[in-house]
Amino acid sequence: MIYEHLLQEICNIVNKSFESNQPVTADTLLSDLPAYDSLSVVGLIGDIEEVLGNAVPPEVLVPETFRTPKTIADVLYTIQLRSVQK
Amino acid sequence: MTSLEVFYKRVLTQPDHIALCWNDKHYTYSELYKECVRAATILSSHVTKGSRICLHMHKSDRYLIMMYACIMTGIIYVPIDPKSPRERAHFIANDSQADLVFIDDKTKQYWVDPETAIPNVIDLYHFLNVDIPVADPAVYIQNNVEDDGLALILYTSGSTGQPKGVMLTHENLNVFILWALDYFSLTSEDRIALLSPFHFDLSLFDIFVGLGGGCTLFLVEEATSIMPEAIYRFLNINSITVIYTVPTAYLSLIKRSSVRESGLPELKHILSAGETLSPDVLLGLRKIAPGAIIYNMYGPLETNVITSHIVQPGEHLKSDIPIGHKWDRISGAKIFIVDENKKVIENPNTEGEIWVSGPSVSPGYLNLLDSNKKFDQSLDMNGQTYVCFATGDYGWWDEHDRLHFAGRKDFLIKTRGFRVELGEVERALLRFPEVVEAAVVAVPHSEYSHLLVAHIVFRDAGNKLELLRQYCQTQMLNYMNPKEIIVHDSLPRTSGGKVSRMDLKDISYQAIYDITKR
Repeated sequence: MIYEHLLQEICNIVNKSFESNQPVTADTLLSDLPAYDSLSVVGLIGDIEEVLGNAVPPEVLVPETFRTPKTIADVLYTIQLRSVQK
Repeated sequence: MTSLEVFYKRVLTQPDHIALCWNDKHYTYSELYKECVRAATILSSHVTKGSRICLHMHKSDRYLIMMYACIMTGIIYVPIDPKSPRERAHFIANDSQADLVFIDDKTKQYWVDPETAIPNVIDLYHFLNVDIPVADPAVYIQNNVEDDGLALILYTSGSTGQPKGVMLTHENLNVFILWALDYFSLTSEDRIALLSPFHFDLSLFDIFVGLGGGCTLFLVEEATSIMPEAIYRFLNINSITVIYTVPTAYLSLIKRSSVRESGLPELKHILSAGETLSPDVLLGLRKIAPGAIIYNMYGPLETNVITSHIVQPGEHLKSDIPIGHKWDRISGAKIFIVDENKKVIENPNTEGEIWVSGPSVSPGYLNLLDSNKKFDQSLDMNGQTYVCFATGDYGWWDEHDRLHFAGRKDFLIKTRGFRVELGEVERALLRFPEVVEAAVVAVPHSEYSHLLVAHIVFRDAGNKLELLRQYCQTQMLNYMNPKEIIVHDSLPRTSGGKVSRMDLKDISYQAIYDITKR
């Protein structure tokens, strides 16, 4: 998946998982969304895995990854590139 | 000994030992105590003993310092969940008759409304950021705070549709701290990860028992505490030896982080409370921290922890794990299993309601005289009369005097360790103008104890579901938010005309099953 598509997909997933009433952009801080908590983050991870068809490695499940849709997309894109190179 | 005296004793005996770590900052016992005295000096120049203050802030070093400043000065503190919607936060400030409300940068937005009835809202950072002559460090030790005086009020879900404040006295706090110091035998070598938010009663152990035990406290930021991998790294990097949280959080750590077998070798004490500890979670904990003692503890917010069970090898093979023991209980506390006729059940393996008496029991709910009847239940046994709190929890003693939990028979449930009255969620839904009927069903869930499904009827046809979802997001606490909302033309009824919760139960279980399968 090219980066722009991945980023758009992540924005859509965040929008759905967090049931946000404001448009989610690449730089929306997840911690500013009212639904941000352990349950919604776990739901978000599940939704990402379902849409992308891959498990998200536990090593990247840290706050730095889940700051904004862009930071999530950056990490997942790097993982994608690495798996292609292998 | 009081909560303050056990802390001060450590200040005198280990002044240079690290007491508190918060991000890149750390305080020795001596430095932390001085900061508490400074905050107490500033606070007492604004309000007097017996006043109430709300703390509507995120976890921080200043927040903890302010809690001690209140204990020192006899000022009652009321923590508010920083994620509380505006209406809930304002209700708590009004209900508790707070003289001051302390906020931080992130909660400021909830208090900018010029129509707010709360006059004194202050940013804690600015409040403490003043130069004043600080009182003698020993002065607050003899502060004449009465044992039966209130120390804090913790708000929890209420069936009337509004949160209710559980009042805790200095004596309630002191007996718990002294019992825990003796029972867990913590030392200055222990390092405690403070995972719970400060409006959650579990944090009372971390803070007051931790500092009374001479341990080093590590405050865990919210962003870290909701990410299993981040928690795992935090525990490892800081060589944490003591952790106290709810089974939901343990399950998340076991299942969703990269922790492997024996991955947390430094953990010595794992404390669990707030929810049922399942054999699966227990097995997982045994694997990741084989050297740790695991404690399954019991006590509702109204009594604090009153009993504890040290988990024995092989107990993960049993279907349920005891929550306590007749002899492992807070000093002065009595635990009874009571039948429908308010008679004590002494036979083992016979279920009844758990009643508690003793010095750790709260004096009651703030401003709720009717609900306070359950704090005043008389029980006669062996010629003695005990005044008990009827917990609403059911349990039984086994033949080895161990206490087992059998659930509840009302509408109070647990989700992710938080107590939720289904009535509060239903009333919140009914406040949405278009909703004419609402019923909420809690569906048991392996990871979160329960997930909520709301069944509603709208006033008119037309799709207002999205608006209702947005309303829930902004007006209700996250953990009270229904996972699924199902719209009906009318709710199913029993022959007597009541809402048929049995019918709704089937639909709800199916809905959660579908979500999980998705």
